[in-house]
Amino acid sequence: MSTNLAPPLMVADASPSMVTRLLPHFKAIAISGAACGAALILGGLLFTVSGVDPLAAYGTMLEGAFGSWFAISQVLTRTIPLLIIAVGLIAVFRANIWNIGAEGQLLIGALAGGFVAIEFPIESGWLSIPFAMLIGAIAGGAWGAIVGWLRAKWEVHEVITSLLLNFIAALIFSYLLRGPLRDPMGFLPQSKDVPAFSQLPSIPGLGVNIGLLIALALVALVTYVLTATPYGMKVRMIGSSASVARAVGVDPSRMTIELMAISGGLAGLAGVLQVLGVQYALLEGLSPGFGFTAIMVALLGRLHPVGALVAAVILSAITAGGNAMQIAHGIPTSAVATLGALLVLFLLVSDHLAKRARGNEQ
Amino acid sequence: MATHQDSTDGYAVEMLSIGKRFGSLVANRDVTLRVRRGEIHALLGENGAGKSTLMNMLYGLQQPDSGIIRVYGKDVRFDTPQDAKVAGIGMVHQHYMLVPTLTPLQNIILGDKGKFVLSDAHLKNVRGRLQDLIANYGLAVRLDVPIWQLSVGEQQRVEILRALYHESTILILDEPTAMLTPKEVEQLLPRLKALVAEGTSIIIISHHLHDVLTIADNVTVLRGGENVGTLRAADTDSRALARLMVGNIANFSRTSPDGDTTNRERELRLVAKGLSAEGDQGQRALEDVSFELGAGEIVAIAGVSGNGQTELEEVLFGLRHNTSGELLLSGNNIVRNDPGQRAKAGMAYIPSDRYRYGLVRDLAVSSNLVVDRFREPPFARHWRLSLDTIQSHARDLIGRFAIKVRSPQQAAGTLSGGNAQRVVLARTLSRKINTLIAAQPARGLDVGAVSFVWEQLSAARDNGVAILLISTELDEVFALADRCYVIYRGKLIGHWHRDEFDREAVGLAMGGVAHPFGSTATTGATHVH
Repeated sequence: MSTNLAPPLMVADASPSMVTRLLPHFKAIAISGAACGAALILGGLLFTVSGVDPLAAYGTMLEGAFGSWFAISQVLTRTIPLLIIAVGLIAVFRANIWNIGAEGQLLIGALAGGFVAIEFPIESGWLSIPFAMLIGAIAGGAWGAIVGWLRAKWEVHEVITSLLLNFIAALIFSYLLRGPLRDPMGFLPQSKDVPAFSQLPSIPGLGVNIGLLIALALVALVTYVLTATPYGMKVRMIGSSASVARAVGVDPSRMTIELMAISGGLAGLAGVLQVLGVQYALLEGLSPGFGFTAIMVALLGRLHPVGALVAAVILSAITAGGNAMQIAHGIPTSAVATLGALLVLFLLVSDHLAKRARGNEQ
Repeated sequence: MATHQDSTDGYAVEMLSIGKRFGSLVANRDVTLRVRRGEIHALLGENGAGKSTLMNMLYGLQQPDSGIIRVYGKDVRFDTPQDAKVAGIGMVHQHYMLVPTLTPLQNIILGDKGKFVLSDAHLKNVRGRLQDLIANYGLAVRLDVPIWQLSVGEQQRVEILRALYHESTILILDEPTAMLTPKEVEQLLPRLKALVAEGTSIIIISHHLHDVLTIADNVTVLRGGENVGTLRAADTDSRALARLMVGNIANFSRTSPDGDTTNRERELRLVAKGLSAEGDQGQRALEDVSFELGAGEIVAIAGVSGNGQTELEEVLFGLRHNTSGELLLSGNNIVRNDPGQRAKAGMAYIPSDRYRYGLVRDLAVSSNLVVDRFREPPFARHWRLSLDTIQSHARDLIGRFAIKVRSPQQAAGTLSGGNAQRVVLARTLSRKINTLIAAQPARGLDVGAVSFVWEQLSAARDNGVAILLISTELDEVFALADRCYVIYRGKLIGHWHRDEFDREAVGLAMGGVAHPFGSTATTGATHVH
């Protein structure tokens, strides 16, 4: 895996001509589209084998994802955590740091942010919501920074540490829900509810919490930082060559810790938003693997935040539509999950082929 | 070996009129090499003289364009190293091909064909054969200790043992003494003698004059891809070999066109005092290196590659820690400063490995032209990059330094070697600098690009920049330098001013023989142990 999944030329290398500037993007989009098509065809074969007409199955899927305002709002609500985590992952992946620990960072952020929202209620949504978000982001960021520090200081590979910290986070989460944080009045291992004034308001008329706006703002912010600021240049630089970065006075160790903190912080933020905006309590199953799906989102979006936006909607729709397919046709959800994985697989292969084709031209 | 006794002539290897080109580069031209059965034959030459190419062809890694190879009198054609092995040729590379976590025994059976399952009987059989070889040749190898725990000398013996196990009767040793301590070098010699006494023929690739003279029976000298002489070691000396290796003295000795500059009082810019450092394997790579570099002069560090040049450039620019010594830039000790701080103080660096320290492959040429200053105005203002300024800056430098690109947006990783180097030069020399570390600035470039690089460096020198030129090319050193040192096994030996430049003396020093003649001063490093 490498960082050049992204189109090689970003806005920082802006060309005077609009056409030459956008051409690599068009190419990337065309290749992605072809890969998606191939994945859909193979997925269709899978449904055929399961005894279901693939066209009908895909029809049901579309219906289930976009067939009603309610369905759309469900898809968009699911998009929020995926997108917020993915933009953070894009920042680290671009720097050639492979954070596989977003799931754990999400849980730690949710715990910390949820804890202050539930146990230390400030009776004003204007204060309590940002405060909980901040605490959650800091906690998730600290959890991520551990990984960065271990790599910078001791050269322990981040894939291993971040992956293993997921288990530790999940067990801490589970323990606290069954022990100290458990609502004494409840039957299930879950916390008390988030007070109403700390619950995220909905976007009027859409039925989606305002986390969506935060996610979209983050897409814009990360795009801007990566392409138009010195910090973004540093990220892309250490992603391509840490030794050159060192030779021109950029400290890759420090950047590793910072970026892991940012990535972890965004995952933590996604966790808080899930507590305040969707579940309204800390509970088991708070995240159905958002931290892992977000890795697919980042890769499917070719490590570009706008691409991740599209990818997050697609993968959310596949999940929502998949539920509908299961109900209507009895296709197991695992078959639907396979479809998402096929998408990523085809995309990675197509990227390799595209690169080889470019190489032949030269 | 007995099987080859019937062959009538006494040569183990004959390479006749071998020619080999790589594109426009002639690596070997009409080279003839004859190695007698049971002799140690040294192949001597500077970097790029064609030694490795010649041996790669004998070992089947490359194929000659013309000429004949005979092994034990039979014409052969080796398409792969496997073919060469079957014919009895074994090669010990300079960097050993051993799996560090496996033992010598395991490493040696690793190459056995058709042995998916190792039976105890087979292992016992192999161990027995290895122990016989160890006893016969005095090759002291512990068969059951993992490679990483063995000294470099013992690892080398494992390589030799492996070659003997594969019944090689012709051994090619690439720089066998380069990685060894002096004591290990002493131990190696009798072992090689024991091998040739049993009928093995050995070819040694080397540029260490002393080793060549003490170990080899015959010496073939290559220069510029041609055989410039085959001599009996007993009939020659290091001066004669050095002369053959680096070329005719009369053609190159020259008087300084600006001899007076060497005596002019200079403002001292960079002063190294007793710098020592370790290499990547923890070996002593630099020992007590001291030099002075003044404003407006080019001081060269000449030497054959692998003698500490990489470590030196890294230490000088803050990319490797030194273990002792001081480095003063305009009087301030900068030994603890990181590369960024050194750059701020006016120091610049042209790295020998331009993709390791110079260019970010995935970034555009325009970005690469500012990687050392994109955080400062005018390229960055208030948290944002000034993309227009970066573009116009790129267009300006692409024009001034004649960089051939399709557009400033082209990724640096797609540039040719010459153009990549022009990007590094353009970036380095367009900044306001006072001191420049230029390591192999013209490596791998074609003739036109080389003279461009040289012109740029002399122009910078004339503008008062202090330049330390680290180069393995004597032509480059003599063309550019006002003074030169030679680095040999991590130490600076010999020091010459431009009007005393003497190919023979410098060539001798590069081969590890420091003579007082032609040298006004040698650094104290020569005598330090």
